Amino acid sequence: MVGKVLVVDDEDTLRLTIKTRLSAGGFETDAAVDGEEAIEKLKRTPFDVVLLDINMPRMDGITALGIISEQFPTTDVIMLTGFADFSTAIDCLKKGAKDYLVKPIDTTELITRMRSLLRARNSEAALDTLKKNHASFVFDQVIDAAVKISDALGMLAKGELGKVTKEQQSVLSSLNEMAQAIVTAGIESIDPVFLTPGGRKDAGKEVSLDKVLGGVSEFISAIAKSKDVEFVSHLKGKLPSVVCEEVRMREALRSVGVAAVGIAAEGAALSLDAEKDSGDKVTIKLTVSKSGEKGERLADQLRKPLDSVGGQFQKLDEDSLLLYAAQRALAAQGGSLSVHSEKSQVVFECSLPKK
Amino acid sequence: MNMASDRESEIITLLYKFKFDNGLEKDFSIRLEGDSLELLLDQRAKKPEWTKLKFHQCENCPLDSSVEYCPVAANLASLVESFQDSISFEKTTVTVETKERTFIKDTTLQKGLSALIGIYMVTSNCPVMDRLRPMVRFHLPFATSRETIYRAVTTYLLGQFFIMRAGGEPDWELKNLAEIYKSVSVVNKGISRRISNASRKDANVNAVVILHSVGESLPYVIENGLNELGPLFEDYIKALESLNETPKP
Repeated sequence: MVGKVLVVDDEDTLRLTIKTRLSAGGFETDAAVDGEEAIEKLKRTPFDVVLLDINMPRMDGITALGIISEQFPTTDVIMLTGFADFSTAIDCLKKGAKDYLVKPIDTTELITRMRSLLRARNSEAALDTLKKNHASFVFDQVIDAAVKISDALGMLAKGELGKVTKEQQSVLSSLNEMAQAIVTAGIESIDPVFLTPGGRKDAGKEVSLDKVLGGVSEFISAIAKSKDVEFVSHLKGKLPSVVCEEVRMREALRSVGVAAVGIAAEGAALSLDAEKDSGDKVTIKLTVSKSGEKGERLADQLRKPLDSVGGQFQKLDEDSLLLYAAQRALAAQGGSLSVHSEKSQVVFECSLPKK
Repeated sequence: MNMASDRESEIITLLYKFKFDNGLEKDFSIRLEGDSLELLLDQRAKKPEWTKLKFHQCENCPLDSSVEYCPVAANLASLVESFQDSISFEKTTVTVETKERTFIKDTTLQKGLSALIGIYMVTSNCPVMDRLRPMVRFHLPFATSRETIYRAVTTYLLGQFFIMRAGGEPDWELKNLAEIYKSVSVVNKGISRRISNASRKDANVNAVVILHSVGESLPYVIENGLNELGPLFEDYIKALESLNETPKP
């Protein structure tokens, strides 16, 4: 079957002829007598293409076209028009119709046009999938990793994690520049509209939250120490297992840690906690006691869905990038990440489904 | 009985009456010459510009410039003028009176008009449409696609019988029937172009569109072995099979 087509015309002979010819051409077809019936059928079942007559009783084709364009944007419309209706046909193209055919219709030409339209639709859909996969891969894996590498190299180069020689510092700085160049190139290569919520859906398995949080806690402790930020872990007692893809979940929590340390103001304290009794999910909280303006800005930023940042996408700072990537990673596991700020305190709240 | 009354008896008359919800009635009397089935019209009426042969002349028109007017368009002129401001889906009650019986149907204007235009087109002396003229003798108003296909095929096969009797090569496999209808489709398109220039609303054009869509489906129906009509003749096939199975003495 090459596609699903709805034939809309008040004249039964025409409906039957088109329907029969399209069925013989391998299309799945249905018919409606006017715009009103067409809309009803579209509400019940999706169609790839609607062949829409213009002059019909009850609801004409132009009214129906408006409704279809608005309510069923993935359905393409081809208008069926008489010779005298050229200007109307052009108006229909402006209103969203993909094409128009002049009656009397040559059914061989109709089938050729339908096939070509459906081929174009399939190519567009395939290209969209490719763009989505590319965007998810670049954002969730390349950019996320490159930002973290850049952070680590920066800290190493500055001697925050141990003394380095001038030569080592020079090498580390150039490597850091390369990592930052990868981040910039990655951001420039994707359009955020293709970043579907959550990105790739991971096939999760049972993971010990105690084990993962233990490692994350050590990581945050190390980077907090390097920035002279006090860190306290309130994790105690056995936490329930969660279902997720371990590496992606661990990286998401580390990103939250990096961002939290990044916004901590002088004299701030960081605390890690987990609520094991919050319904069917486990909630992990990372609280920054004092963040200053940067924390509020980050909290504000994270409240906007990633696909809505549009032209601002390339201006996102590294902490925002990491947090968006973490948000997507947790969403892909069936969890979430939200950031709340009150006065100067900022709370990062991550949730994951219990096993 | 003298010759004059003989000629008179050979004229076939069909009366088409359209009655609309607003009380308006329009009548059209069609008179056909009994043997040739040629339309008998008053040719003195002034012919509009769109009826000239060169105006949107059909791609497959075999007529040359010595012919000033398209015969189909010239015959349709007054009918088209009558419905130039009419909407295709307007409701109407159509009564068709013939010598033998009366047909009546509540239908849309485009449907009633298509039957009428169909008669005008095939009785106009258009060399392409002429091939369908024998069907007019057994005109069936408001025919469904299936009925029209049945009449088209059976009329064509009867024609082949007469070709065979005259010593010609009959086309029992309907090879040329699909070709005839493909040519008819081209004329339907040409006529609809002309008519759309003479109409402000869509009733006239859509009437031709209906004729065209039946013609469009015919080559495909033939190509698929007339599957829809086959079951009607199952008994013929059974009789043939039992004849073949009868043991020879």
